Amino acid sequence: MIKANFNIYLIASAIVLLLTIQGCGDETDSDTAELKFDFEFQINDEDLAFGQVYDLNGSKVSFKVANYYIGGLKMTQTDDAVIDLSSDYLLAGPGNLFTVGDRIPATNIVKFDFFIGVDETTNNQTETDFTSRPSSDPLGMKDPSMHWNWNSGYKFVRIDGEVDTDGDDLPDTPISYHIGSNPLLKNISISTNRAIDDDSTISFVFDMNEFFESVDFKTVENQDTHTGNNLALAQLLVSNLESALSVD
Amino acid sequence: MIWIACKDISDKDHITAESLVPPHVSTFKVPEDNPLTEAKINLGKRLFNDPSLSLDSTISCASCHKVDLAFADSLSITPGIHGNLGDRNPPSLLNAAYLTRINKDGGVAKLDIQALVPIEDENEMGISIITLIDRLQANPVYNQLFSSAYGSNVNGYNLPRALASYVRTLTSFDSPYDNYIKGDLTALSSSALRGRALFFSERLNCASCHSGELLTNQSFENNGLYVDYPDLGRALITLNTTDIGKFRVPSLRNVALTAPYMFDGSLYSLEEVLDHYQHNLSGHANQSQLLKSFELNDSEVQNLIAFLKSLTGDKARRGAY
Repeated sequence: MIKANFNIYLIASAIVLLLTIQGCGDETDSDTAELKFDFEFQINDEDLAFGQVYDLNGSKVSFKVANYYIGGLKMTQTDDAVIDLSSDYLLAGPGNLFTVGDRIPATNIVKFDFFIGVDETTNNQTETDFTSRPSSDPLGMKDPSMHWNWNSGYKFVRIDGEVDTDGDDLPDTPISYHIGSNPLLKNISISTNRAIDDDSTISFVFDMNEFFESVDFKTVENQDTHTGNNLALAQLLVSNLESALSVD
Repeated sequence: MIWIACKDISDKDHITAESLVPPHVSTFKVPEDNPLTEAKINLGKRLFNDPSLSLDSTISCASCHKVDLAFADSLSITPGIHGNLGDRNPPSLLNAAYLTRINKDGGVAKLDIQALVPIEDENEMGISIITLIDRLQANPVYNQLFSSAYGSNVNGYNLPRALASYVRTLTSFDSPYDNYIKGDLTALSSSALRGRALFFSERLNCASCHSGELLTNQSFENNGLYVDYPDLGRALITLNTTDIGKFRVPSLRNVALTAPYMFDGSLYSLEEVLDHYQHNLSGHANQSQLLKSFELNDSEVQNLIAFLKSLTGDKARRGAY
């Protein structure tokens, strides 16, 4: 009798287990999505190509490095619920791709909130620093580097290139824009109406024309900032970030 | 069954900070994640003297931080790769283990990552740390040395830490002045004793900044060197205009060995330094309020210099590191 009862118990348990597994499978396939982010850089309404010569603000320029950090990312859904990805940092650069670790609920996003830069605690490097992180970590060592060597912390935005200054249409004077330091962290909020379903890729779009608005590449004062050495230019570029960034 | 032997550095292999300094001075902190061992120190010393740490393999740390000049240099600005010139005079590395912030502007948070500054600076060693790691990883000697010291091949974490381990051993507390404060009243000449009295007097106020066993309080001060500073100093880090022209007060230990002086090596002798403080303060808006107006006669200048010379460590004088 005891043995029969035990057999019934086993069968019932197996049935419950099978139903549970079947239930979980149904939930993963239809109600969640894999989310990826990629990063576009636009100049003169076309995709940025490194080394190509562009007309920008009356000068011939070319670019060879374009990177920035996105942190604190939160996505607001239609029902005001928030998908919080603020524990992740994204290193934006042409060709970079970031895949969110966990599947997220399939939903509609109405707002993206994030900052350009690195939070103050992480940026101060007094405890954990970038040398402690693996190279796969967006905040680990990179080449071109996104860490300062003479200063603690990270370059929030790094854009390098060349400009033509002698009128031969060949850019050969270096230009470099390295923006960092805690006071220059820039909060961005972008309203949108973006569906996220199975295997969605969201593009952060960086408009170089907007970023370099009011920058005259012909003047020496506008050709270089490593933030502290040319704070006014760094502040101008940070203020341009709001109009330079969009989400697609 | 296969046993894999792993490098296990026990506490008994650790070298304590106490063992590196005499008992009459305080000890420095050693980071818990980078305790000192003989293997690390020897590795760090090898790296320090290796020009392959620079892009064109011509510049080592020792190129700018010379052992017979208290790990400073006699040039205002020491050329880096391709003869490139930076902006600042190489500081002495003696007692760098005690620094609370690194670099003259305090931009770097800790000694364990300081080496990346000259390594990656285009006017110094000019090489990406990633490129340098690839280069060193291809060297079987460094493979073995890093494995012995850190249990792994060279990487971005252990490379600057090995160098920091060596620099931590560069202490200097064996000067005549040290003997004097330990109780040997004959250690200082009569001239140096008069100079000491001047140094610690309210009249000159030197010790308001150059205080403590290191003869620096490690504050950032503008000492009125310029009206317009080509190098913004601490303001590069804080972005605060009230920090323009402020640099860390340097230690005066071994100062007689580390000419030229100031952040840019623009003053070539101790006499010029004293003349600056007496006669040439610029009156910059950020000039330290601690600087006092004073005049010294020739005898007082010599006495003060005699005292400053008494801060030279015996080991530093002999270059015996």
